[in-house]
Amino acid sequence: MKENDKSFIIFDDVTFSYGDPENNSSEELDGTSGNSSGDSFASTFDGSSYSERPKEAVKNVSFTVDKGEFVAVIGSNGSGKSTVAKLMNGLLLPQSGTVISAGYNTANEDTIWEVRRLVGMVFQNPDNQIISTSVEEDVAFGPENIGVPRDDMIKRVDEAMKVCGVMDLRKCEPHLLSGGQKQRVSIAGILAMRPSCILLDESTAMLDPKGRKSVLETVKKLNKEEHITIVLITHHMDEIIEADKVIVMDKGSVVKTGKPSEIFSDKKLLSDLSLELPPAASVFDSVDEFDFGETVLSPSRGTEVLLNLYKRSIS
Amino acid sequence: MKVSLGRYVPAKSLFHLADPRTKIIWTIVMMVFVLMCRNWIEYTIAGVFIVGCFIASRISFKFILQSLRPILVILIITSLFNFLFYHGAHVAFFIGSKPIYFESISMSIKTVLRVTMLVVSASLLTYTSTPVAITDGLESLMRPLTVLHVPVHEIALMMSIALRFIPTFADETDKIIKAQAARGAEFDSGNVFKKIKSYIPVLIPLFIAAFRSAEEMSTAMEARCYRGGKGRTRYKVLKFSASDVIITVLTVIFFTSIILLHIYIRKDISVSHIFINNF
Ligand SMILES: Nc1ncnc2c1ncn2[C@@H]1O[C@H](COP(=O)(O)OP(=O)(O)OP(=O)(O)O)[C@@H](O)[C@H]1O
Ligand SMILES: [Mg+2]
Repeated sequence: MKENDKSFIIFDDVTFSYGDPENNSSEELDGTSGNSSGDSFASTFDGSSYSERPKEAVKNVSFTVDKGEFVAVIGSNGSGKSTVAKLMNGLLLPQSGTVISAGYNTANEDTIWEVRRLVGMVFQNPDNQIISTSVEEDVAFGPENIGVPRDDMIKRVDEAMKVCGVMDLRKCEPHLLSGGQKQRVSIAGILAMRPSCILLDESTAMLDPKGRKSVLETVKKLNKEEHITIVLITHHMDEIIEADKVIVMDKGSVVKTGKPSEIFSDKKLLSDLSLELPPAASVFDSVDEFDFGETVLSPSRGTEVLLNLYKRSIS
Repeated sequence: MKVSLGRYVPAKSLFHLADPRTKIIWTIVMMVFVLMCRNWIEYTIAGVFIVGCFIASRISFKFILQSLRPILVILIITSLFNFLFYHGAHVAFFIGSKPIYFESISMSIKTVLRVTMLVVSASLLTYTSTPVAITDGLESLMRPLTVLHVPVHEIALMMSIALRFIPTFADETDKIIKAQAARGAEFDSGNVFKKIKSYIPVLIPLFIAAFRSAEEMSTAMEARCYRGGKGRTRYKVLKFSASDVIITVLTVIFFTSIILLHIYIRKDISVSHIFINNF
């Protein structure tokens, strides 16, 4: 690995554009597929359609993701988050610049499958990434593809299902699972390939709060216990509080990287990109009369701050 | 909404436990022999064997009748034609001035029996194995064809993905129908053409959803290192068990007895001709 040993994914001045939309009719369908909201309709109807759309989905992007890091990527619809994710595991290749993932250049065809094994990806729609007709077979799909011998595969599948808490569902047909269970099955399917990194592209967007929580807990556990690098793309600000690093994207460029507290204390950035504060932070933020001396993000931190204040006031 | 795939009826029986490959071959063998049956002894043996197998599969009689329902009309028409128009040598009775022969009565009953036995033995396969198991069995049986460049793995994968998505799309259809109904679409009024036309607003979104799913699914497969059947290992392997041995042995016994009868009765045909071939 070049540059430094800690980096796992390196984006060096990466630019990518999706070709000319006029020439390719299937693009129209794809362009709307990644969106969770009605934004896709807006972009085709409000006059700011294709012609005004920035030509490059990702423009001169450089950043690094370190080994074992928990990185969150935020940004409004169409800011290029999914494109960045697909560049990370070589589903898309940059037109200029280089992407180094797990020590391999993603443009190198010989090592692309190794990159995809090491950098697994969970997508948004839980229905369209489960391929097999039962949970355990789906978890085995990845290992089957990379030719893991059967005895080893059985061990890996069991292990992955245990870690993701879907062991009891092993014989279940996928369509009978809840959204959260489906996403955990998808994570198990990646885990069974023994990856070093997992990309989650709005994987919690279609889930109810309970499902969302179960998926996030699984992801955090993998990060803490198995030291798997996590890249979490999300619209939910409360999901990024615990991230080691946040990458903020807008119109195809990275506009800021930093710790969550740095991002949330940058009021101008937040209002420019119309990002919301996490619930606890917005409560503390609404207190204008008092300076807490820090950007409180999580409810637990908030409780601590308040307790300290209280203790100080009575002593 | 819970959609059940195929017609699989869960139970624990000799046939349920057997390997799908055994059952597929069993079904083919049964079909060949039912088509070979000529005289009443052979029909009886085949019938008894099939009924025995059905009892061993613990599928209730209700399901057998259900499997016959779609072919009822064909069954009645063919047997009626045989009954009225088959020419034989021995007149049984007259309907008006039309002679009805012993042979035509026997022929029409045989036709009914033959078609019934064909359908019943095929449905034994579908009642006791899940569509997925049948797909796996077919893939395994067809594997030698890869030598002839038949894309066996790809066909099997396509079939299993189709099976996987049937319930998903059934759900999707349900949602679209409700969404269109909420916009004032009517699905149950007017003549046949109107009804068919009223489903167009359901079909188009369904097709778009299906294409989108296919697109996303292929990306997801690529992200999980799928690159065709080459160098792939298998998680699920089919294994023969005791039930397969039992079924195979019984079928071989049946098979030889029919063959022997076939040869024996051929020789002896002059003596037993009237007796066996015509009641
Ligand atoms: N398959 C595609 N073909 C053409 N253009 C595309 C395609 N996918 C995305 N785009 C365009 O590229 C830009 C970046 O899209 P991208 O999907 O990366 O955004 P995103 O940040 O993931 O958005 P979202 O939050 O809606 O998922 C957008 O302008 C989008 O319209
Ligand atoms: Mg996206």
